Amino acid sequence: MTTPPALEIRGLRLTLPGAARPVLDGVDLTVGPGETVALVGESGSGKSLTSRGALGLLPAGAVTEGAVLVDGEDVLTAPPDRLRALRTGRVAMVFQDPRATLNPLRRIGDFLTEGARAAGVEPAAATDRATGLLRAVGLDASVLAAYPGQVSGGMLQRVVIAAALMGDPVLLLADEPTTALDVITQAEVIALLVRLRESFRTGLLFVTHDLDLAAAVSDRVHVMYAGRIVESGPAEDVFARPLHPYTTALLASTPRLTAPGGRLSAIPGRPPDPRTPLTGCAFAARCPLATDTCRETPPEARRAPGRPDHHAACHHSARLADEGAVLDV
Amino acid sequence: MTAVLTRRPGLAKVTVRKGGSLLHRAALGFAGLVVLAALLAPWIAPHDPNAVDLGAALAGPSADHPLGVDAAGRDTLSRLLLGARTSLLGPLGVVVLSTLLGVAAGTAAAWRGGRLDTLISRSTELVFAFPGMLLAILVVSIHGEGLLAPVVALGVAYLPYVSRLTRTLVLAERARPYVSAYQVQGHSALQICLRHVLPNIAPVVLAQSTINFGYALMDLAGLSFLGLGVPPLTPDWGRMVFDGQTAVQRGYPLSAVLPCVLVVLTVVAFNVAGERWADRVARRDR
Amino acid sequence: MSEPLLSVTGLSRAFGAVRAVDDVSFTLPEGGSLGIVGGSGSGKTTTARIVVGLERADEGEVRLRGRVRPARARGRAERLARAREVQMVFQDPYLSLDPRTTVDRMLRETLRLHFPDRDPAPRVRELLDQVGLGTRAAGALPKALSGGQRQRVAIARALAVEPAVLVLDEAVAALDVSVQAQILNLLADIREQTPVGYLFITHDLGVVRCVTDEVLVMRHGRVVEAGATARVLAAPHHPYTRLLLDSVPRPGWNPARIAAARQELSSPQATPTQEA
Repeated sequence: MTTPPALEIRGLRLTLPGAARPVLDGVDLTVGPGETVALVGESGSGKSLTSRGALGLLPAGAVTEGAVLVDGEDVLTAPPDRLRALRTGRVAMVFQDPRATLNPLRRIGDFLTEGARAAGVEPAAATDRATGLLRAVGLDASVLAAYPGQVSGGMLQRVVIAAALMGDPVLLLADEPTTALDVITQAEVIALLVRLRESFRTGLLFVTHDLDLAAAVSDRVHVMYAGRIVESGPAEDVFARPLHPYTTALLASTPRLTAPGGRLSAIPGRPPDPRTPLTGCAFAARCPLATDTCRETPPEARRAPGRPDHHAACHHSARLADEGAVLDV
Repeated sequence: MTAVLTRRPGLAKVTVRKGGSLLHRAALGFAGLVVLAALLAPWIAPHDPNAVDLGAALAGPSADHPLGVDAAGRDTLSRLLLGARTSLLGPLGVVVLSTLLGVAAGTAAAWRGGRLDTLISRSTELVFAFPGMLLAILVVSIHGEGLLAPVVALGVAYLPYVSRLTRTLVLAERARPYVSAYQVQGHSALQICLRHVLPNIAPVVLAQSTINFGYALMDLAGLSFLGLGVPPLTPDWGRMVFDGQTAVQRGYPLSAVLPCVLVVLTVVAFNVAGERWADRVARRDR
Repeated sequence: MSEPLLSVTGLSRAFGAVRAVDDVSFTLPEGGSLGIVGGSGSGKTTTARIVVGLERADEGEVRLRGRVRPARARGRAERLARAREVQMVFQDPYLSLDPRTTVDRMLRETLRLHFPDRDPAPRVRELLDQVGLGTRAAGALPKALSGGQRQRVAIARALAVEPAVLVLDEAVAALDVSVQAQILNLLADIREQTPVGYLFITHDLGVVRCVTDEVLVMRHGRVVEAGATARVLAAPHHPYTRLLLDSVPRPGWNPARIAAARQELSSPQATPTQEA
C-alpha cells in the first residue's frame, strides 16, 4: 500500500466527564480511497460522534484514546492550525439538514466560494471552480445568485455536496445526508454521491440509521450499538447473513415492501442508558439469545468462519451463522 | 430564539463582562440588601426622617448620626433607609404595569394578527417615538404632585419594550407544534395562551422586566430630582440629591452624594441580575 | 346506510401561485386505515391539516359521518365536538408536547375539558397502559422521556378525546427503526381495540404497507393513484407510483436509473421548481 487510507480509526475510545462508561468504546474502521463505508446505528449509538471525530470535532471535555488518521495524519494529536488546514481541504462533511447548514441571508455563491477565498484563491477562480462543481452535481450557474430559501431541499443538498468538494477532499463524511429528503430525491442524491466518489476518488463515510440504504450504497457496513461496533463486513454479507442478533433484529423491524404483512418484530426495550456502566454485551438486555455469559463478559469481535472480512462481536454468532436464515427476514 | 432583549447601550456594556459570577453574586446581594432595608426601614431607622434638628445642620458623621445630617438638619441615614421605599416602590409599579399591559398587548397582537396586530404595533411604536421622561413630565404637570402620575406615565412609556418582546416570543411559540396540538384537542385560544404559551415565554419577559426596573428607578430618581412627582417631605433618593445641592455648594457633599451612589449601584445591581438571567434563559432555551 | 366515516370532496388550497392541494377527494370507511403517500411538496401534509382543521381549504368540503366539518369552530360546544371528530399525532414528538407540562397533567387537562364529569385518574392509568407506558412516566416532563415514549404520550393524548378519526402526520418518521416498529405495532393494536379510523400521512412505502388498507398517491397536490394498498404496491398503474416504489433502497438498487426516470417523468410537465 503506497497511499494511506482516507480514514483509519484504530481503537477509538471516547469518555465524557461524568459518564459512567465511554460513549465510544474501541471503534475500528477504515475507509480506503474511493471506497464507501457505511456506519449504521440508532440515535445515541455513537455513529455521529465517530464521524465528527474524523474532523477533530469532539464534545467539550472529551478524553480520547486510540488514533484517528485522516490521509495518514492523526487528527487527535494535530495542533489547531494543522486541524484547520485539514478541515478546509482534505476532509469535508455533509450534514442531515441542508437548510441548517447554509446561512439564509447569504447567496449560495458566497457560501460555495467562502472557504476558497479565505484560503487565498482569486474570487474569479473560486467562482469558476464553484460553477464547475455545480455542473458536476447537476445544477447550473444560475444557482450561484440564488438565496437558500429560493431552492428546494434536494437542490440545497447538492449545493452542500458541491461545497464539500471545493477543497478537493480525500474523505467525505456524510451524516444522514438524505434523511430530510423524500425517497426519490434521496435516490438522486445517492446517485450523485456514487458518481462523484468514482470520478474524484473520494473516500466516503456514510452515516445512517437505515440499514437497507447502507447495504444498497456501500462497500462495507459497520453496525454500531451503544458506542461499540457490533458487526462489520461486506454490505451484502451483513445484510443477507447477519452474525449479530442486533443486526438481525434491526433488519426484522424495518417495515419493507417485500416482507410479509402484519406485525413487525420490534426489538423490545431501549438502548442502555449512557449513565449506567455496562457489564458484558451491551445488547444482552434486549437479546433473545442472551445467556449469563453475555451479561458478564463483553464479547470480542471475531471473524466469521469462511468469511474473512466479516466480523461480529457476539458470543452466539456461530449459532446465528447456522440458523441465520431462520431469524432473518 | 429570534427575540432580543432591549438593553440600553451604555449600561449593557459594563454589565455583561465575562467572569461575572462574582459580580453577579455581588449584584444579587446588593439588590437583596436594598430590598431588605426598604422593608425594615421604619424599624431600623435611627431617627424620624423628617425630624429637623437645625442646630446639627450639615454636621459630619458622628455616633448619633452615622452618615451626617443634611442642610435642613435631618438624619441622612434615616432618610436613605426610608427613601429606599419610595425609590423602589415607584419602579416596581412601573414594571408591574408595563409587564401586565405589555404582555397582554403583545400576546393579543401576535395571536390575533391582522388588523389588531397592526393597530397595537403602530401605537406602541408611537409611544416608542415619544421620550418617556417627557411624557412623565407632561403627565405630572397636568396631574400635579404624587407618585401615581409619574408611575403610570413611565409604565406606558416602558410598555412597548415588553409588548414588542412578547409579540416576537409568542409568534415563535405559536409556530411550535405543541400549540397546534392543543388547538386540535379543542382548547380555547385563551386557555392555551394562559396555561402554556405564557409560562413558556415568562422567563425571558421577566428578565427584560428586571432590566426595565433599573432604568425606571433611574428615570423616577431623575424626575424627583427635578422636583416632579414625589411630594417635598417624602424621603426619596432623587429628592435627596435635589435637596443636597446647596449643601454640596457649601462643601458638605455627603447628603447628596450618598443617594446618588445608591441610585447608581441599585440600577447596576438590577441590570446585572437581569442580564445574567436573560443570558441564562437564552442559553438554556430548550 | 353505510355512510363513510370521513369523506373529502374536491379539496383545494393554494399558497400564492402554488396549488398545494388540487381537487383531492377520498373516503375513509368506519374503522378503516387510509395512507397518503408522496414526496415532499406533494400536498399530503396540507391535506391532513385541512382535515384536522389547522388549515382552511379554498374549495371543497370535509364530511364526518355525513356532517360537514365547518372551517372554523364557533363556541365551546362546537370546538369540543370538532376535537372529538378528528385528532392528530404530529411528526416530531420533541416539539409536539409542551416542555413544561408533565404527562399526567397533559392528559388530565384534555380529559377535564372533554369529560368534566368523569374522574380522570383511572382513565389516565388506562390510557398510559394502552400505549404501553408505566405510571412512572406519568409524573415525567417530556424532556425526561425518549422519542418513542414521547410519541406514545402524544398518541395517548389524542386517544383521550376518543376521536372518530386519528390523523398521523409522519408519526413514526422521526423515530429510530426499532422504536418505529414498536409504535407501528402499537397503532395496529389500538386499531384492533377501538373503532378509530386512521389517516396515515407518510413518505415511507414500507410503513404504508404495514398499517393501511388503502392508499392514495399524491404528486404536486393531485391524487395520481388510489386503491387497495396491496394492489397499488404490487401493481402500480401510474409511472410516479412506480418511481416511488423503485426509489426504496434495496440490494441491487440503482439510484442513477431512478434519477434518470424522474427527469423523464417531470420533463413533459411544466414544473415550477427546476429539479435537475
